[in-house]
Amino acid sequence: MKTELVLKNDIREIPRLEEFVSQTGTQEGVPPEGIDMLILALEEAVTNVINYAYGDGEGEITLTAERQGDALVFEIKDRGEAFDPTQVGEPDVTLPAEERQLGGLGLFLIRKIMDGVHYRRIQDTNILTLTKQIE
Amino acid sequence: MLNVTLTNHETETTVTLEGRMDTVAAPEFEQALAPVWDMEHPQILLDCQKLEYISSSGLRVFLKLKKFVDAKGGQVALSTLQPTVKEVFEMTGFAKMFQMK
Repeated sequence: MKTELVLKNDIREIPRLEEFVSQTGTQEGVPPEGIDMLILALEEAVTNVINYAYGDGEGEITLTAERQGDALVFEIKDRGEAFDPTQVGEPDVTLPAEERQLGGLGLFLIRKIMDGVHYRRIQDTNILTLTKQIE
Repeated sequence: MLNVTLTNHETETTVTLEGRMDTVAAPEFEQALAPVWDMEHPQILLDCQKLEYISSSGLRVFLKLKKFVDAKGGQVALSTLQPTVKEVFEMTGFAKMFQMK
């Protein structure tokens, strides 16, 4: 079964995203600690889209979740500016505080938590696929 | 939902965080720290025993606080972290950045 959530590009939509991911994880038997990590990865990915994809304009973000074999597959779609987050460089997480820059950890966390992060652009749509192996 | 409480002791300020620090809540944390940004000799204990969740927007405020306190020659320490928050701190190298109490 594939479930879908449509969000506006507004940070105040984040609690709806958390609820959706939590329900999906619970239905698929993911333990509570694992659910928080899934929420974290999806929150980071969707926050980036909310903040950057549509500039100052309004737009929609569609999130789908589906079980495929041993994996949970999430797809995040938007029709904003083309952006491939998989091409963003990794921050150095061994640096001390004074040498660190504020920000830049969202994509790092997504890569750490998920088993697969894939981007494609089809016509005017950005599609980010996040995959997590379960059991 | 996130609750932030500041308690001033003689030489130290305890900042108690309860709940979930997501993208929506992180700015509330930053605003609640307003008195800290005015301190000349900040001595801060972040009580995170009831902090259940943190995303990168929350980490940003933790780093901002650490940079500020270091620049003032003060100290900032963390109490025990819950497992989810601890994992995020370890993944991102934040666990090594803060003194743990």
